[in-house]
Amino acid sequence: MTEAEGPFLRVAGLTKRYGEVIAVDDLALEVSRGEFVSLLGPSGCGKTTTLQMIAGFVEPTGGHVLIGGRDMVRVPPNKRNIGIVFQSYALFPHMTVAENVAFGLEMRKVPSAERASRVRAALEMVRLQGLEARLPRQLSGGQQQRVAIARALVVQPDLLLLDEPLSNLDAKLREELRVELRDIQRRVSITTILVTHDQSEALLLSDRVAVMNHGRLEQVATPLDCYEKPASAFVATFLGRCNLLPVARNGAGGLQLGPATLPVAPDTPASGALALALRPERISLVAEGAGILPGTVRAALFNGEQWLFRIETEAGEVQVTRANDGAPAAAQGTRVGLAWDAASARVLPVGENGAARG
Amino acid sequence: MAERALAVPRVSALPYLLSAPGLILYAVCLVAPLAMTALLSFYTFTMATGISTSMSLANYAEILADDYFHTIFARTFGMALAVTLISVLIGTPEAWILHRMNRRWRAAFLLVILGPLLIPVVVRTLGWALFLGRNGIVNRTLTELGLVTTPIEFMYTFTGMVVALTHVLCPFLVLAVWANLQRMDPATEAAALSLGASRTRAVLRVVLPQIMPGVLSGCLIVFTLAASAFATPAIIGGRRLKVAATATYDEFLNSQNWPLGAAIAVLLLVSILTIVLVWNRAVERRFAASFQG
Ligand SMILES: Nc1ncnc2c1ncn2[C@@H]1O[C@H](COP(=O)(O)OP(=O)(O)OP(=O)(O)O)[C@@H](O)[C@H]1O
Ligand SMILES: [Mg+2]
Repeated sequence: MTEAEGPFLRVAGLTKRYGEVIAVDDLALEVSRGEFVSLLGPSGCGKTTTLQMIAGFVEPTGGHVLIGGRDMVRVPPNKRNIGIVFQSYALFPHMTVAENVAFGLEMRKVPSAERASRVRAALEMVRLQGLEARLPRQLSGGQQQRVAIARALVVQPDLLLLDEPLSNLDAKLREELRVELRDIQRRVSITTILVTHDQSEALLLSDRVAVMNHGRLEQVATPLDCYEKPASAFVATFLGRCNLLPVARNGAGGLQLGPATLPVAPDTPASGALALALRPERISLVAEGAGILPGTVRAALFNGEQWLFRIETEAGEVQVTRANDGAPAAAQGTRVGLAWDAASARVLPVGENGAARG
Repeated sequence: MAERALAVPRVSALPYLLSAPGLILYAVCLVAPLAMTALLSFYTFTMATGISTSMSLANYAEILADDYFHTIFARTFGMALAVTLISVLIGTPEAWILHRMNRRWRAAFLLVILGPLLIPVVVRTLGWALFLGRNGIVNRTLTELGLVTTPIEFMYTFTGMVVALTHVLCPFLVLAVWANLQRMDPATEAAALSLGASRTRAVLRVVLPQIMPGVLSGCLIVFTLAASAFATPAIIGGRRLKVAATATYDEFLNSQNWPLGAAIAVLLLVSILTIVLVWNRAVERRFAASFQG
């Protein structure tokens, strides 16, 4: 609130154990003022637990949560000035839309005239004018969601936390609200943390994505960097589709990929099992004999927008996608060569949780 | 009739057919005795001739005119009201605490709360009598500490009946409220806190209004059971402090005036039904807007 330098939210060494289960493991994250960060990860990886510890509803086993430089771990949730949009929205069912939105202002003893005008402005922001007198159950899912956003923002919190706020909506509405959510966040420029297991949501909305797995952060980077330079096999396969092909250092100082030998990039890990991460859309099919890796087309699937090829190679099955340009594609059984730009490929260590996900 | 329906099975008849055994059992076990009691209440009775089947409203006239019966009915509903109020005051927080407990403790405490329902009424009531009686633990302790000079009366008092009944009926309220709490989205309370409400305010403004339907239906259960309770008032109130149920019993077994007893029973039933219906209507009108889908 006062200090201008440094991260606005700093989470350090945050850990939560439930008996034997480690829900969140030594998590460190820094978020600057006005930034939109997504916590992305599969179900059960500890996203909600992390958010709840920041909000103050779950007491950490260890670690710190600093907001504006102030340690919040001992501060009760009602004193943290954090706006939260819950997955279930958690609207008060017995209060009208206006009463729901006014609740936080009432708790802050805002005089009633100011309260009314702020409620009006908040409802206008989420385009819900005219629905003030409705009860939550008389609203559609999307409208309820907007009430929840208005209710969280009207108190001008220091931090906005969103726990899978769009997961209860159908696909079309979800896309609409995504854009709207981003607009609102930009307009009020509030520091925001979004929890989601939807990778496209995280990529679309955030300034930075924090990818979580098994209670740990695997990578925190911009959406582009996460996609282009995944730090682990898990990140590579969780964000978008990715081929993971086993590679090994050979005696000659190269990387052996099936019959092909690749040069070793400087950032290649020195030891352990390695895999080459290759996005399906970065591989092109060339004539037999050309390219880096030879293979045979096992299937060519067409969905209108693109072709999906499954290519059998000596290094395993490789998926290749190609935008449909109207030309017929390589048929099943054709022998082809696979080519890619060295910059599109990354060599990553594969740990026990680095299982490929196609 | 059932056979004809069997011979010509129509789809629409099937549900009735399937529920027929239940409905017949219901009719035989519940409706028939009630109808007979109602009929009995119009018969006449004299000491000399016993029960005669000539119909009249004399029994009702007698009850409505007699102060003795007024007192009994006032006591019955006063007792039911007191039991209900105390149950709400104790039971609602109890349900809340139960709801907040972790799983392991909850199982144990649920057993403690439901305990009174598992103990036979006679044992339970005698337990209270021993505990609070003239020479009971409480009175002896109080006397020995010099806090009272004469023992506090518990047996044959209104207070005694209310205490013992609350003990056994409160669990019903706890269960009703608890069921309601489980349907409540726990995130609403968290939302209230995150918006700056203190714990107390969150409970008063967000939790309590949401569990009101449970509290009110729990009240109805407790009130109905208290107003029609027999065993506890019979043991603690005895024949000195009669309520409608024990008065009915007395007319049947001691005075042998079955028609008058039946009239008391019918009046009790009708008053309870009226209260239930009026209460339900009021609750529905108040909460229909926010709670029924
Ligand atoms: N109260 C609790 N007691 C015991 N274990 C818990 C508790 N809450 C969470 N966990 C465990 O901690 C882990 C992380 O849970 P969390 O709810 O944070 O996952 P999540 O990433 O939000 O998953 P989802 O996407 O399914 O919501 C899970 O393995 C879960 O079983
Ligand atoms: Mg979650």
